[in-house]
Amino acid sequence: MKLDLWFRFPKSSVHWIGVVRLMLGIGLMGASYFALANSHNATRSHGHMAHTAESVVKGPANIHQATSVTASFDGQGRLWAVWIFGQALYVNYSDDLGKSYSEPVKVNQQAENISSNSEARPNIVVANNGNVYVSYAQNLEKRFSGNVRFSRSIDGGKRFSAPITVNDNREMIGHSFPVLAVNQQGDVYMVWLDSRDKVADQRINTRAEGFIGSSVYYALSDDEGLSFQSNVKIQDHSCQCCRIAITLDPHDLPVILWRHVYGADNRDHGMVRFVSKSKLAAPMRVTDDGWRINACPHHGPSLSIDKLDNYHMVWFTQGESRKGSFYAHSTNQGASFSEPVKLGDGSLPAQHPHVLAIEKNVYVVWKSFDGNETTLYVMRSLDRGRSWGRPTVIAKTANASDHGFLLAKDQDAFVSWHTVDQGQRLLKLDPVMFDDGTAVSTLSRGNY
Amino acid sequence: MKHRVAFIFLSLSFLCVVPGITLGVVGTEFDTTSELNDGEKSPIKTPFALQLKPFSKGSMETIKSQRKGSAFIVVLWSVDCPPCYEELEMWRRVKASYPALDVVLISTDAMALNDEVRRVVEKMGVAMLEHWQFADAFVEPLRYEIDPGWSGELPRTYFYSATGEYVGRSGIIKQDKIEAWIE
Repeated sequence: MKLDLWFRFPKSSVHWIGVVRLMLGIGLMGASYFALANSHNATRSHGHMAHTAESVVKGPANIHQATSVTASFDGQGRLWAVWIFGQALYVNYSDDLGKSYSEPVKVNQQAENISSNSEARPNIVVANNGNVYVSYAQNLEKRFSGNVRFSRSIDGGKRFSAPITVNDNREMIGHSFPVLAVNQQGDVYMVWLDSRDKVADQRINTRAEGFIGSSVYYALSDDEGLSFQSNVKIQDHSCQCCRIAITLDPHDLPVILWRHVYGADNRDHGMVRFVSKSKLAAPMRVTDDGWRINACPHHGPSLSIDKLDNYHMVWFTQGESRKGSFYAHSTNQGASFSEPVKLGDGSLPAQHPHVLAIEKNVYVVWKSFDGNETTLYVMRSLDRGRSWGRPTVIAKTANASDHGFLLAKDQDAFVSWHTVDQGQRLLKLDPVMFDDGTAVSTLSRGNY
Repeated sequence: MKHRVAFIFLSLSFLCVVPGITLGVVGTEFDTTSELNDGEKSPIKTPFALQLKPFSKGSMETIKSQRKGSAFIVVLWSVDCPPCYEELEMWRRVKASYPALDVVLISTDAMALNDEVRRVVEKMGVAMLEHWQFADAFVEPLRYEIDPGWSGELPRTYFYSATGEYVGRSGIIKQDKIEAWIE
């Protein structure tokens, strides 16, 4: 291709006074448009690691106008939700499957810039004793810098403790993407992405390629969230911008799955399980898709483990071997996985998959955009992921939406989905929805 | 003599402003330069005000229609994507070597991050390129217009041929690949 084909002269021959007047007018129109858009949703991100800008959200804190709503059922069937509104984290709950919610309780009394996006999002878990634990990423002034924060309520969610910073490295560098798990014993695990090793390496090393990615760290609290023990590194060279998955196995110990960088630029997935309360097995590589890329996929994996210790995982890749979102299971604690099953029919990208196993049933949710609407699909397996029914449409929206997340309440499966137009919804996955593959959904809508 | 010096100075400053304004008029979208310029904070001064056009539904068509019959490159990036900084630095070098190269940069950041996008563009020395920023919180239609098969990973680069066909590539593009394409 000849270079001269590329050259483009700016169009000229314009009348200058007219231009200046036009520019002023358009500039003002543009400014008011942005003011409107920003006031509508200043903290909504685009699904990547956006730092929260100065908030201009107005009115009382409300789950339906919030961002990064993350929900979880406790052992009594109460639905808990944590979400961001302006510069505060809020928690409330629902006893009627999302039809109505309790008065929101503010977690951080001092305003903070809280990471508000679909990947680096707050978490909420409830212990057997009723303690409510929340985590979130606080963004600091410098880009890619922050702290992973934690707060607890020991009075059933009426009040939350002043948030503490869990990362024991306090440099203004990256500590983000925290996730939480609490087991039957009451041990609380926080896992996050940390750049302390990258920064340390940069101080002593001047080699061209540098330290690849971030590192995965965890910290354990065995005093019901009052304090955390020293930070422990799990592995260097994770991807820097994808959500971590954490779940508990039948031994009541956490298993962690994350996007990892193998070699210089191979973005696959690493997994590690705890063999005792604070002892880790060796991390394993669990995908090999040949996605050689130096990029931010903003597309974290998901993991669920059934009572027979079968691991069910879903992930996104654009590798040489396969492209799209996939499901696979392991019957040997991640040592090997079944042949990946591609999600969707291939006509549209299946994005942001999430998985949940309840006994023999396995559910996978994902979303696709067809040019006009975002559609939330679910597919179900009745035999631990060996065979799958047809994907079913459970909801649609024609505006911005978060990812869909599967939740279990006893034997029932639900999808938590937050959309700008419909607010926060809890969609129950009724068995009838899967029989004929048609678009039936029993959704509960909040009062807003 | 004093008057003549002043006259020359004025003429030169006028010339400096021309390219910025002219480029602004070519686009059909809103221009926010007058409201949002924060050039004072920038460590690198550019000869003209940075144009950051809001990318909304139809903007991709505008970008393409303005370039009918010409080859060009579209780069999607974000201030929140660490590899994107390396990518911007690379485009600064490539543009210096190939001044005629037509590169359009689109930031996928929320409009609330407008100031930061502007600062990064200027700091990375790529203010001379054409810049857009996602202007709608409903990003899926914007992505879809760019490429229905793209899932949002960044950086993302599209090489458009003069006949309108494009090839999309995710991740940092190696400079020699671009030079090979240019040749």
